[in-house]
Amino acid sequence: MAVRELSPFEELVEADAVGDRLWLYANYHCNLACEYCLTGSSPRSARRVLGADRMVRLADEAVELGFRRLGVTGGEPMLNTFMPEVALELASRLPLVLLTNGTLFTPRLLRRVAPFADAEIELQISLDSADPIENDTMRGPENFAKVVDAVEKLVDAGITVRIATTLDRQAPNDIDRLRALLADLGVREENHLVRPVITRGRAVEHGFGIAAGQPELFPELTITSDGAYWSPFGSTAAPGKPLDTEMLLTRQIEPLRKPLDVLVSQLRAVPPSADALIGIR
Amino acid sequence: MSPRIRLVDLPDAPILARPLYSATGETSPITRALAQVPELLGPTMGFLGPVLGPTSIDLRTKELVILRVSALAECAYCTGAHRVVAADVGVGDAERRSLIGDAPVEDAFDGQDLRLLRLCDAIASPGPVEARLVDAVRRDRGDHGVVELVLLACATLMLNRFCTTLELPLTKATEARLDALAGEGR
Repeated sequence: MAVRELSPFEELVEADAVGDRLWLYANYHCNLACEYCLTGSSPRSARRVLGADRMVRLADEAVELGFRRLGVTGGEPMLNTFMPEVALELASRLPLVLLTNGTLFTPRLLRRVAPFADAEIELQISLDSADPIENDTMRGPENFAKVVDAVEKLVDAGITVRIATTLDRQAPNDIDRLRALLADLGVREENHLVRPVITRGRAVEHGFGIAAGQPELFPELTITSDGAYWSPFGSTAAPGKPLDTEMLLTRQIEPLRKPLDVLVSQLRAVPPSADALIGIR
Repeated sequence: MSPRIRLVDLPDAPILARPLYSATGETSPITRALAQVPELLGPTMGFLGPVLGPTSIDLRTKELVILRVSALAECAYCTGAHRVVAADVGVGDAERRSLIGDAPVEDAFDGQDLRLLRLCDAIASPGPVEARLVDAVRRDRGDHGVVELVLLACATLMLNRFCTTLELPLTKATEARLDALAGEGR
């Protein structure tokens, strides 16, 4: 049997020089307004909705181009009424991680996401502290209670849940307490992601985090309604401002090959990045 | 005059746009505008550079076309910028003043230059371009000369409307050069 030649993108994936996941920013608005939010999202943010049909088209093209995984983020993706069904469509193409703040899981939404249990979907939910007051200071009133309640129900429903903890000012023993809490909730240890705040978006206003530019960020093609980016940590915005542009690849997002070709050409022209140094893939 | 869009500074410059900025962040307002759409910046500058820059036609002749068309199109940005460039490539004070409409072109030009400027006037005006104007330039410069100069005039018109619509501002360096030219009575 003839062996198919790898595309330049697939070669870079094999060499771990670029991410094998295509990130889609479903939208930029959010029911929360977290202090460190990279995208400066809030209920008043410009929505910048990518759209259901376009997300599915992009996933189809991602398969053809050799991507192996998909990620959907925002804003809060679950504010899009189409999201549960589109997530299932996307996951029928490639394994999907869907980022959510976990605060919108009403009984009705829980029923709609129930099929996630049988799909290649991981829900990644943010929880920053085992201390409700500490967590809610960063993420908003009652966030801790809503998230814990949702995680419990999602795990009970057989849905894979990952927890993302954004580190900034938590006490050292807080992470240990959080790990214990997550174990109680049925979240597996390997599904707990701990990462630093990046000083972009609203984090700039509050003086949080560590600076990270293109050289520090692992390249992962990221699609927003406003263009294609080097990394999901690059398509950020200060509250009320346009998206940052210094990691913009192209305004054109379809066909997906167009921004991917630009990303690949850049990766062939520049030395490897220092992303591994700060662990924010 | 303030631009109607955000002009991109070097710290915000997209990956594809960065090579067109100097190490200290200087570049033209046209580049700073086009950096908003990085995938169009390279092709656009790749087109404009050869058409407006050095080719087989001497730069002085090209600047006559660019400055005349820009003045007729009332493009403040291009007229200002190319008054300076024209002076740098040897277009005299009286010639520049006539090109921008302060005096009849017949007062400063004759022969090939005047025939070329009459064609430019027709290109920059609405409606058909008379065959006799094209023929006159073709006799002077051949088919290839006509093609290149018409392309130059048309590319200039495109840029004129781009800069006028977006109200691109002159750089401080260009303004300083224009002040200096005025001070020298040039």
